[in-house]
Amino acid sequence: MRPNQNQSRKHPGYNFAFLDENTKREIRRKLLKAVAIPGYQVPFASPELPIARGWGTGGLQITMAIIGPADILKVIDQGCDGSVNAVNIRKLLVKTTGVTTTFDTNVASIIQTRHRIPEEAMRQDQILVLQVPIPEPLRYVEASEAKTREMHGEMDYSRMWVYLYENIVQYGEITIGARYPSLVNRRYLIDPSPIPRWDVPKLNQAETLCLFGAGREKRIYAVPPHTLVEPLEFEDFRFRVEDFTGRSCIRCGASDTYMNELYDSQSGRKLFVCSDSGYCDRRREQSPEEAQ
Amino acid sequence: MGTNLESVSDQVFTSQRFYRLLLDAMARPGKIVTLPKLEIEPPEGLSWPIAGLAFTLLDQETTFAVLPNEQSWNRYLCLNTGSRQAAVSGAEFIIIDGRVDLPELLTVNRGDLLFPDRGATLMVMASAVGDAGADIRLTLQGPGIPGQKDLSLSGLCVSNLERVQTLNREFPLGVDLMISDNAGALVCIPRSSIVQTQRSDVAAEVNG
Amino acid sequence: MGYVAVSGGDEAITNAEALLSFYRLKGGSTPVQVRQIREQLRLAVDKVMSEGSLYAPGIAALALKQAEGDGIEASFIVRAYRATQPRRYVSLPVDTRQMRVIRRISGAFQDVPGGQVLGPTRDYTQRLVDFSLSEETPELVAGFFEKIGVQTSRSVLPDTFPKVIDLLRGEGLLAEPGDQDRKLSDITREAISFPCSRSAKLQSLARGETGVMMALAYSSMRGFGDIHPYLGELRVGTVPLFINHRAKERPVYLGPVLVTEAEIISGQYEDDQGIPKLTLGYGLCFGHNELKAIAMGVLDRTMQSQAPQRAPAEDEEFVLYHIDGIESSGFSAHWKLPHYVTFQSTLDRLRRTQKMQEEADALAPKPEPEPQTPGL
Repeated sequence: MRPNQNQSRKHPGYNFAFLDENTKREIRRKLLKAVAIPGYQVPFASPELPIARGWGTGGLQITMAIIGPADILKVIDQGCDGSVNAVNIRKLLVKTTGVTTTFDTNVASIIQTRHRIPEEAMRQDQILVLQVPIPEPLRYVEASEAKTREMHGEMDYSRMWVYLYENIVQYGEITIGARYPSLVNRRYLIDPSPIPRWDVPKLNQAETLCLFGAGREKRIYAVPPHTLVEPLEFEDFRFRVEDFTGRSCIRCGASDTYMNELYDSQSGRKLFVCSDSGYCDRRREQSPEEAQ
Repeated sequence: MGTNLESVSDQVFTSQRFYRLLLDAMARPGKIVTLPKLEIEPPEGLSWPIAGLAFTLLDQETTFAVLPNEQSWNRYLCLNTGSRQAAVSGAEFIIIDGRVDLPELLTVNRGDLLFPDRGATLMVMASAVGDAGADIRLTLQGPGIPGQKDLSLSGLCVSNLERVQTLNREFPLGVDLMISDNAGALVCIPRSSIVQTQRSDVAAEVNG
Repeated sequence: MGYVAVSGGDEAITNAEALLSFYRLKGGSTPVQVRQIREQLRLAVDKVMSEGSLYAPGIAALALKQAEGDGIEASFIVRAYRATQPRRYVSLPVDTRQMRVIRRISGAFQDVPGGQVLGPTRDYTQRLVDFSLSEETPELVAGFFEKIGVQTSRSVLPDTFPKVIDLLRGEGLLAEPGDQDRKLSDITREAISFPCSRSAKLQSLARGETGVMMALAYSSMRGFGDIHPYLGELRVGTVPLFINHRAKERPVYLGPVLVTEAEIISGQYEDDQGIPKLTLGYGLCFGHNELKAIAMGVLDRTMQSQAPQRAPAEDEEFVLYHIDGIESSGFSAHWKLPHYVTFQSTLDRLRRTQKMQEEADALAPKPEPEPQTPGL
């Protein structure tokens, strides 16, 4: 499809996808380095956007730097397309690009997400952009950026291992839930963003390119497709995903997805619902008898 | 002959299309993509795909060098991108005629352990990318590659490839390659790839 | 029954925006003019310009109106606007010796060449509520202007004022800038890394949030750190801005910019030759904002500390990463976003460790009951 030259004239005053070309170029250059050095956090300028720091500016800058008029965009927050923050981000992107949007993971070419990876496996013709609050996995053990940079440079992750070990000694288990530290390409330790442990295995040897943007902290990193991603574990304390045994989604009946636990606002009853609302909707359409 | 100042009328969208192909190629080393033809007139010896990549990535905030040091290429790139020339050892982007034997390649910036991203990007012109009758055959493994991938190239000085492998011997230090031919075929080899070289006469294994 | 997934997000956002306007206007008072904010709340405007890092008083005033007076929100609006502006030129260096001063004082010396010029300041007013301001009418305002008229002072003020630090330099008392001081970074085009160039530090401070800078500087003055500052000079006034333009032979004058400059002098420190010298902490910000300029000068100096044990104000990473109001407010506020997926993961971990604790307790040998002491 030929790019529509009129797109940039739709909203005078703003460039296509909001960012000026210099800013896009800097992000594009840094993304290439991030892909070439899987898991390494590349510093970037990260100028301000009309959306607050901490609310997705990193992911947004990546999407804005790569998106084109032919892309089909999906934006989710906590797995849900309808959540207010996803709506806000989607609105800004549509306003400045005019792209088509979708709630269907299979149809999207770019998916920008906060804190979840979609349940349906993504393909090689799609790109996943993750919003990251704290890009540094070693923040659990070291506050100084200068020191953590050295630790990554020397691949000295011993203090992280000690932290996990002490966790086990104290609680009998590794207590880290989301943001589970994982080793990429046997070299760089990453914070996979606050996705639940459920989603970490999806990064390993994926078909899709995953790009991570931390706008406030000004770092970009990447996990290319077909790349080893190994959550830290011990031989006798293996990495475990969350346990949803005996639970099923009240909307579509699934028992094999990551679920939200909530209290019904009317009855006060505890319920479980698929976090991935798009996936849940599609299951309901396909098997109405399982749904309620 | 004066240096051409190319028209910028559609550059926002052309750059974006080029970039998505480039990103895909860098994320999947060995995968050959085809860049859309650009109606530009770079000086003799500078191919339109490499010029197009330069337009996509270079600007006043980056530096570049060209090897061999052709003044017409320097002028063209400065004028059309706003980027500044720098010494080969300091430039972020190095545009290279791959056929020429270039010992200076060993001086390019490989980055350092604290900032490996400072390692340079090499934009290499080859005669043919992916040509079945090629004289260089590479096998690639590593991030972005399911199993392993064969890549055929021709019109590249083998010593240059060996120099790059020397530069890339201590991951994460190293340089990242973008290789294209005059037809617009583009392939990337980031420093994360393990590269084995076979020559048509001798099959040799070089540590990546 | 059936649980309905979250929907109506779009509508909720639109209604929230409408509610904001409603809250601003429901009182029925005359809509405040941007000009009124700019002229009569100039210090709020100056603070927003400085923290938004864009010299545009009109935009800053408008942002304050839009944000219903929330200074941090207004600075955010200005900063985001700044990011959309094309960058065409870099100005020539500004020499604040050329400043058209409206206020100029020194705390380090009783008197200085050019004199102490108080200018418009509340420093020596008594902080009593001025109830007459609630009855300010255009007639009263006109009366005020008539009364003060145009006054000429007996002594003529010089056009420009020499710098106090030049006096100290002339006597060899001030340390000279080092190598890190000469490197020109641009923090808006390049993320900072440590150790940081002085220009990167000063740029970060110049756009920092006044409150946090004041608190950090205060901590240092109170003893969390080692410096004993003096205010060498504080000046407020307009400086001329020039650029080079390729079509012109001589620099082009763009206009005057109002700034506040503070020079904090602290000693002692030994230079490369081991000679004791005074050091300079430099503060400069847009608009009239004395607290910020002073805090900036103090923090510039505290971050130069080479002490092995650093107080927060002496730790350049601590200071520079936490003084940006846009970044800190954004992240502080972001907890309001849904976090239920990650919370679910935390609950999973908690339940598991509780279960393990129960299992461990069940397996643990029961303690022997205490032997009963027969009658005491």
